[in-house]
This record gives sequence, C-alpha cells and structure tokens, in this order.
Amino acid sequence: MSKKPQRREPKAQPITPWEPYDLLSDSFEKMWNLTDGSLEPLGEVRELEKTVQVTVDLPLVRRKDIKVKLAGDILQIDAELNRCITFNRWGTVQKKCEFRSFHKSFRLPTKVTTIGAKARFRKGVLVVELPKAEEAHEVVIE
Amino acid sequence: MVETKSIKRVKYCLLGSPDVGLVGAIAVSFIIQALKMDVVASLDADILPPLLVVHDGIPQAPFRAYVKNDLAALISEVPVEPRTIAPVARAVVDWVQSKNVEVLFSISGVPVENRLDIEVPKVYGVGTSATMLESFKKGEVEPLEEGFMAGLHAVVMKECLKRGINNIVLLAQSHLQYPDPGAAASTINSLNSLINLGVDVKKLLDEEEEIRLKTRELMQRTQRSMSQMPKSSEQEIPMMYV
Repeated sequence: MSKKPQRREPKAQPITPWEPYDLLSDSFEKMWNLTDGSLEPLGEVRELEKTVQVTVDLPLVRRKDIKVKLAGDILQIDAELNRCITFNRWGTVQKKCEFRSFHKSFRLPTKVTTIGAKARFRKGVLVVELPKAEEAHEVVIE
Repeated sequence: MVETKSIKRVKYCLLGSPDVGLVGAIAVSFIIQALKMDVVASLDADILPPLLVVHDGIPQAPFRAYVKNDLAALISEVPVEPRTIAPVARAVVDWVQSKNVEVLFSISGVPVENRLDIEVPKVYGVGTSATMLESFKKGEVEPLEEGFMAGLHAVVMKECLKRGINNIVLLAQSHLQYPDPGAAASTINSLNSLINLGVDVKKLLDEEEEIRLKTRELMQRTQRSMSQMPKSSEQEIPMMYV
C-alpha cells in the first residue's frame, strides 16, 4: 500500500504586535497610584561581591520621613513627601491629582541580612547596603 | 525638519535629547524657557514613533527646533530610539548645515559612580577641531582625552566630521539613571562662558528636586532605550594606544 504523501501544513507564525504600539505602551507605563496618592521612585538593585546595594531617588523627602523594611527577599521603601505635589491636569486622566508619598518594593537577587546593614541619605538619594546572608558555614575540625 | 517659520541663518545651535541623567533634555528645555525662544520647525518621518505631545491644548511633534535671535535649540521630548538615531542625526545635521550654523553644541552627561559626593559637576568636552578644543578654556571645559561616545550625539558628531561642521559635545558629570538638573546647570554655565548665553541657573537649582520628581517616567523610558546602546562603555578606556 502506497503511503499518501503527507501534506505539509505551513508553520504557524507567532502573531507579534506592530512595534510602535510596544513603544507607546512603554511610554505610558505608570509610576503612580491615584488610590493612595503615592508615586513610584526610580531605583536600582546591584549585587556586589559581599553586599546587595539598593539605591532610590527620593526628591522632596526628609531623612526622618523614610521607612525601610526588609521582609524575606523584599525590601520595602516608604517615604513621605515634604509637601503635597499637585498636578492640575494629570496625564491621561486630566483631573487634579495630589501625591503625598513614595512607595516601592524591590525584590532582592539573593538572601541578605540586616545585621551590619548600612544606609545613607544624601542629596535626596537613599543608598542601602545589605550584607549577603552566608549560606555555607565552615565546619572546624577539632 | 518641517519648518513653520522660515529661518535663514543662526550662529549657534544647541541639541538636547533624553539620555544620561536627562542632562541635555533638562538643560536645553530650561534654556528655551528662560530665553522665551519660538518654535520654528519639527522633525517628521515615518520611522519615528507615532507620537504627538500636547502642551496647553496644542498638539506638537516631540522633536522640535526653537530660535531666538542668532541662537537655535533642538530638543526631543522623547528618547530617540536606537534604530532611528542615524536618520535623525542626518536630519539634524542637514538642518544645521542649511542654517550656516557656526558651532553646534550637543549637551549630554557622562555617568560617574561618585556623583553623590560631587557638589558642582565638571564639564568635559569633545570637539571636531583644534579650534574647538582651544575654545574650551573659556568655558572651564576639560577636554575628554580618552573614552567612548554612544548614541545620538556620537552619530551627529560623526556626520559633522564628514561635512566639516563645527560640533562640540559638552558632557557633565552626572547620575546615569536619575534625572540630574545639577549636571544640566553645569553645562548651562559652560555655555554662558563659551557663547555668552546669559542664562541664570538659580531657578533650575532651586527647583532641582521637583524636576527630579516630575521627570521620573521619562528617565525610566530613557533608561530602557539606552539599555539597547553601549552607553556604559563611556567609562571604559578605548583599546588604541593603551
């Protein structure tokens, strides 16, 4: 019995959106929350040899109004603005909006400890240094 | 460039677009407002993102040219995407050449690790000729001896070198990924000395923190765009003559 030649189905091509719309959606990614009147600050996480360094830009903030909390691998930064920032026609919502604080949670790349942690706040930039938690401990042979 | 007002000639031209620390965008935008410059042209091409900005109810292209007396300023309100840099640079240099500009000043930043410890950022300069380098002394601009340049300003300079147009790139020590009005102020002070710009930076420095807060989104978008370019190479020493 001769085999029927198998018909080759054309490979399904993944549907990719037109690139300019990606650019547009990127452009309007929001860094604010109208519900609680908070803004997302700019920040970065860097893994160094012995520490994890988190830097956050907190303009219009006083040192005493910053709270830094570590819960597992999440570092949470909350800071009150020294004055309420009002936008009369805010972005796409086009209404009066007020912002009173910054809020951002950073996922850390590795386990850290608060023992020996340091933080400094200079010119509106917060730098937090968290020592990496040592996973392996050397066993001393007696 | 599509002109809405015909301009025959300008002596100097400034160029700023969102990149390192938004230095060029902040500096040029501040100068445009301080000198009350008039919009005269905008950049239009099919390859540009389908975007318009609205200011006071008026829709405008994000890349525009302003003029006041013998000074022109070109500014982009959105980062120039890497794939559009070459044609945008050519359009910029075509326009500059058609206006017989004596010197084109490109304004930007050079990222430094210890920016938080620097009170007044230094300004480095790269020029297309020995005469340009000589002029740095007037503006307390330190020549950038070794390094890389990437992005719009690099391609604009390459184009200027090919066509024999005077171009100076001013690079202020700056944050890489936070808006840096302090660095922008340093470049304006250099321009004050180099071409008697006459722009007081006090207001810019007074409003520094507010500007940082309001330009967060633009900085984030710019960072994403810059991550596609070898911008970090600026802190490296090139291979030749090591």
